[in-house]
Amino acid sequence: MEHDQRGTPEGIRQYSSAMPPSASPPALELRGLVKGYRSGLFAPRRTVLDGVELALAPGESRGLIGPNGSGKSTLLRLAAGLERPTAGSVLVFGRPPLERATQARIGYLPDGFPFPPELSPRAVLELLGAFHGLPRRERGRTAERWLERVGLAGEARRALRHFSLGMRRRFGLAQAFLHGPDLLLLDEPTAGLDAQGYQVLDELTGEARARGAALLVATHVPSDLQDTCERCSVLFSGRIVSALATADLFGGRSLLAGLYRTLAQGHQP
Amino acid sequence: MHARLVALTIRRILPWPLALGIGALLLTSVLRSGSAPWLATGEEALLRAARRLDAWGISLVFAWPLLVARSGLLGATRRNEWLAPAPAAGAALAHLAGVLVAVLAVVSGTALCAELAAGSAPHGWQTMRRFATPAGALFPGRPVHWEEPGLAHDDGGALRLRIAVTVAPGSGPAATLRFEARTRTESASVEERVAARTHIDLDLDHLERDGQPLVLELASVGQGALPVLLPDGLQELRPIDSERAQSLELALRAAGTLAVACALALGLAGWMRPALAAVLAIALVLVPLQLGPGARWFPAGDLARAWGDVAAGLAPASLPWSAWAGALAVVAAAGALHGLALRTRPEAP
Repeated sequence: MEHDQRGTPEGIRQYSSAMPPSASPPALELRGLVKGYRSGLFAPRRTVLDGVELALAPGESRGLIGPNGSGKSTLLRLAAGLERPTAGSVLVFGRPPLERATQARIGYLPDGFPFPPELSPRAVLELLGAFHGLPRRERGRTAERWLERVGLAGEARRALRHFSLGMRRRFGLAQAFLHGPDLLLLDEPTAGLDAQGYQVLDELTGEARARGAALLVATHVPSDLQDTCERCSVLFSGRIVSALATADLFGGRSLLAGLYRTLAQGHQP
Repeated sequence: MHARLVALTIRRILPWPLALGIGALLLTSVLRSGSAPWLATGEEALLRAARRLDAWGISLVFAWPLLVARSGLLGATRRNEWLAPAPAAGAALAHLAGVLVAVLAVVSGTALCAELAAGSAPHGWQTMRRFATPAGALFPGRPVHWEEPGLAHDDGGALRLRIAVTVAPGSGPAATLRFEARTRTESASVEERVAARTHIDLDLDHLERDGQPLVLELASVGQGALPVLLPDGLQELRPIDSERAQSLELALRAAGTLAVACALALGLAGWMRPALAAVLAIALVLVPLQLGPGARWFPAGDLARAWGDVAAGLAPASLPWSAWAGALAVVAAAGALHGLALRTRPEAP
């Protein structure tokens, strides 16, 4: 699936990228995924993802690293069904992510904050619970439980617009895990979190892995993946160029910077 | 459809600071509008009409564009990402319902303020129909007369004919005009001095028509300026119980026009930039306005004429059902477009 042997610095092991054979469809399968954007009506299309191939088995946890602008967030947005690919396909458990039944199996923590700032976290969680088919009587209790879980019980009725970055990220975690999804797509999950937030994130991802959910975590910080993902894929210039053992990336920022530098040189004509 | 999502939509379209601002402007129009111009006796209705239009004008200039712009923002794909797990049809319907409630709130608030500003509401007149006239100059001794079969039927109610006239610029200060309506057996007439663009009213309460065709005649009497009969200048007026029908008829047109504009902005915003969607929605609504009264399929079609009627102290004629059908069709199509955008997630512009 993932290919390219170019540009891997010494000391970093290449990981076998083949998905173990299984009867059930992959939790996430990206085939020849291309995504481009136009900045204007007559402007040329700028390609962000250029033929990405990725397969994530049910229950598998995978990290996704890459330099700024490499297309990590775009890849997660496509996987979550928030955008449509320019070419190629996205399948979540064998189905298109835009289908409502598929949406119920996806938990997505966005990089930004698309939730209505006028509403309280409790109101938004109740609404999301309703969208996911939670019975009316259980919505309030479930929302409270999740807010308590992420440490926002005291802020349940405060409008989201008054939340700090860390509180917003905690709320993001609550909404992503709310309905017990089978595929979790986490975009920079540790950004803005404090030590307690890290702990909550570790607990939630641990529980999700224990119940067999698949995880795809996009991050700039390999140590974030330490307890969650054994492997990680490197996204560079819109392509997945390597599948690595996460433990090999703990050598600090300089190691990762070296990797990106080497990849950049390898891509130059 | 989730009631909570409808409530959220109303809050997003009409947030309280915006509602407060619009309310303050409208209240200002109630308290301050209507400086007393020089009016002839019996023309107080024109002063009340001016006060009414002050409120409607504020709404048209400030509130309507803001509502359309905010509807465009509401339809933006990025703003609705969090609704990905929701059924697209339900979410689109909730958005549409919220937008329509906000439109109704603004329109009814404006109508209320317009009536507060206008004050008392005695009996008034409503335009029922308009008729073509043989437009042209009226030379002395050569009256213009024509038959109007549309006015042959007599239902026994009070009837007033209003004809629009003016004098040719530079031809003199004023002219005397005689407007006469007659059947085979009876006639009624009125004479008035005309110095500028104005109208002449002729009451036909006592004229027995009984299916006889009505012959109308307009003549210049004596020496003076050269009078001109304006095209489409004949109106059939009927008495109404209350002058407040002016605001009611204007409110119905405003609600239909604004609902169509806001729904179009909401529906188009998923496929283009929200600002562009709002501008395009306004432009599309202005098309039937430009086509004029011929565009009977949209409430905006005769908005300008209805505005003119109210300015003249008249209640506009009731909207035909076709206008409501047209508005409903556009709103439904725009809602479907919004639902499709929520479901298929087209490329974010």
